[in-house]
Amino acid sequence: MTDKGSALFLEQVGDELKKCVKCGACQSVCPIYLETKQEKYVARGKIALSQAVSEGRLPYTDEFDSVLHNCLLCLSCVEVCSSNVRVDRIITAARSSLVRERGLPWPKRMAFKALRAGRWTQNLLFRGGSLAQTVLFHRLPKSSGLRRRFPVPGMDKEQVIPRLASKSFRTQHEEYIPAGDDTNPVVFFTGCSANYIFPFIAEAALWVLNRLGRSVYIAPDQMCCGAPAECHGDQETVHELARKNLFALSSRFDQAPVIVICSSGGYMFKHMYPELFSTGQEARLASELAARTCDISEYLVHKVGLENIGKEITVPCTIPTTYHDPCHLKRGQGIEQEPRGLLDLACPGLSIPLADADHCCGSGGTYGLSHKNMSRAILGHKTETLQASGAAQIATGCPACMIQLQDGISRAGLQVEVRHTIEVLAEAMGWKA
Amino acid sequence: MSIIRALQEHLDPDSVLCSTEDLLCYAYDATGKNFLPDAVVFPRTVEHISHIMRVANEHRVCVIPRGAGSGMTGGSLPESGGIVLVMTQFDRILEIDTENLVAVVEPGVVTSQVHKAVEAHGLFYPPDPASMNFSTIGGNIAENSGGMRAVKYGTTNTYVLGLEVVLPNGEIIHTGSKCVKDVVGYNLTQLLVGSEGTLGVITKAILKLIPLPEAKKTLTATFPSILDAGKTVSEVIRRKIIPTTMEFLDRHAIWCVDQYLQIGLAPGAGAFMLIEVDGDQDQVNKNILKVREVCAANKAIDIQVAATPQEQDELWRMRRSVSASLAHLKPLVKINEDIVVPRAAIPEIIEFIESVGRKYDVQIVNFGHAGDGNIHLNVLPRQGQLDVAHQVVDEIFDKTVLLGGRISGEHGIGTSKRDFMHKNLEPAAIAAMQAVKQAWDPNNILNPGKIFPKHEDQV
Repeated sequence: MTDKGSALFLEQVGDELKKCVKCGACQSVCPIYLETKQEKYVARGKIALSQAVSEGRLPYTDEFDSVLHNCLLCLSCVEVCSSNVRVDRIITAARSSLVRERGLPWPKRMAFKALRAGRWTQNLLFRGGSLAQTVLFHRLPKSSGLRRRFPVPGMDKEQVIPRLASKSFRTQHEEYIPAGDDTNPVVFFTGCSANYIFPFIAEAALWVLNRLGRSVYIAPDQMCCGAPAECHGDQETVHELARKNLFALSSRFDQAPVIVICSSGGYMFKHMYPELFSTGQEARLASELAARTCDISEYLVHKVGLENIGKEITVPCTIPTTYHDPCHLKRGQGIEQEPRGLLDLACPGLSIPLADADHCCGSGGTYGLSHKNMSRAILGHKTETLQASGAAQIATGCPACMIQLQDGISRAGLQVEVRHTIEVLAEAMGWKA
Repeated sequence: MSIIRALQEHLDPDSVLCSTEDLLCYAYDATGKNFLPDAVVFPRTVEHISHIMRVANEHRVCVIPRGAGSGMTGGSLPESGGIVLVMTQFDRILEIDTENLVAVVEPGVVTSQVHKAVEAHGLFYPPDPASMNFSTIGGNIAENSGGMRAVKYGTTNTYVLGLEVVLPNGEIIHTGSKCVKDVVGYNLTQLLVGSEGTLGVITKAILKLIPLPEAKKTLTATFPSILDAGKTVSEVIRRKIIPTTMEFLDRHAIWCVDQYLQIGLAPGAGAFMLIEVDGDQDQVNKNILKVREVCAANKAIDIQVAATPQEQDELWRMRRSVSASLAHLKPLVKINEDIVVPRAAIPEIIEFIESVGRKYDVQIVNFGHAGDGNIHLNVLPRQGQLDVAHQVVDEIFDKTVLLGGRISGEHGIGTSKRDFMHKNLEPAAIAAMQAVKQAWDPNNILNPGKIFPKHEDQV
């Protein structure tokens, strides 16, 4: 890192680095350390290296860069750290220093540029992609995804990738879908995955909200939450997306709860946006949005109530169902009992526990693409516990985890359905996809 | 460096690391001190270690064994460079022998993994250092670690029956056995337990197991002052109850750990105690009532019994977080001491520590294992108080010795306490220990500089 770069990096995270007392507790939870048993991959090692870089004892080497990118940002080390070191903040600050100095590699640059485009351009890109994939990939039986037809660099034959929907969710709905009495509006943030890949998740959420008497406003100018850019250190994109979302989500019903169905979106709104802006209208909007944001399970349990939802269960689920905790839901937002409460209602007597349910599945946004073998090794533990649980269905609250779990299940040849919690609930309430 | 080539000849290429990044990551332990090694090696077999020791002797390069690097006294610091021997690849539980009640494990197994594995068979390995979720059995044996359950069950040494060890010259030896009785020659097993990696590299351990107690109950109590908590400990023991654990936190420690877990530990309290009893169900119920009575008689403000196993686990997680959570006080440095006194002397030593802190106006945070007399006192000097802080420690050590105590209960000597060895040991006792070291490791290859006072370390 240049002197200027390291000065800025130090200013951002110097205090965090100092907080680490090197006790080593992060060794007990880091998925990557547990696979490699190499100190440089655990938070304590990454902090030691960051300290060395910030003090000029180590230049910003490619090896340091590769170590910093070998992190799932799963927050397990943050959870176990009793001196509250925000390791995630250190990692992303270091990554963004690098981006400032070296720029983004071109594939990422193009991808993030697409994320920043307006909704018309995005729809156009999406339609092109949706068409192209029918040529490039085989569809797998059932709805589980795609496998490549032709060799693609960096992708093996067995890799299952999600299929783009033929029509995105938001283009199929009016902006405002009133419920019966129209007194309880909520703002709905769909997130990219549920808009473009899994529109049925968004459909289920919309149906449940309407059914429970909530009018739903699908803010039309909502953008990607910025999580992918955040984890790749592209702060410019994160700021731009955040600003657009702050205005889009307060354009109407600016006091209403904002319902989120992806764990990373909720995490970004609650915890990252308020850290981006310190003054002005954006800062006010960010702190308001943080307070208004509710994961769908959180909203249903705390604002509607399990008792009211229980009355609506007409077609209880009849297969053993378990639950996987997404990192950004459990550790990022402290939400772990809520989805389980909903599943207990939807699958009476058949909601079963999963061992180590809160261990990361190895997805980590795009980590699975850049660190395929490691991601798969970590996923392997998840698939093993899933098989041992005896569940025929696994629910979770994060589309990225759903893609990863599906890949693990296909590889292991298990007969287990992957669902979003809200789908399972919606079906038990009588929804049909 | 030719030694690296010599090592690479017999080991997998990816087992010998010498990039700056890797060296920086094996330069520290939980003391936070930094010394760069010359190479980091990950042996996978006992023969690898034997080879490494021979090469190191030939080249006169020192070797520093390391487990999880979570030691508190610098035992695994490469103070004068050399090869850090990382034992984390030795991570198999080789055998759980339910007929002889022993487990055979490799040293890199994490302590809590041993707990989990043997408890699945209804057996029990009691030593539970606060770091048990990441520290290794090998490290525990090398440091003779204690833990919370030491009050009733003793420390690591009580549970080590035998070892496989690579000597500094590369010879492989086996000490002890699975047998309950064994008087064949010197008890080398117990000499190696607590030898802090200066006499040999542990490659296998035979651990004694006991039946897992049928039930346990955990009680928490808050006291107006730390002295009341201290008196409670003495009174419980006097009434012939030996709890599994009797832990205490003073008000500063309560504040720190609450910064992390936000569980709202009684903010006004002077001290907080965690007491656990175990045994068969009837005995547990009877004893927890008695403990409750004693707490109440000693001015406890709020006494609660954990209702569920989850609540118990949460309480112990809280206790295990205390040490690292002291960073919330943002001290200049944290002088982490680990004194132990005969348990009846607990109230007296606590009173003394508090008075020394007041006398010099230095912040001291106390917590630890009240039940076995082992106190973790952390002296946290402000700017310009460093000399005073060392004076404070010195006075506390002297008082500890006066009361029949020791300067370290479970953290070991390492580099942090070697200059205070003389407070507990006569010069002849230190010389006797050094003679052992000299005989086992004439070239001073294995973990040099540790334990013994620096100026006398010219072997």
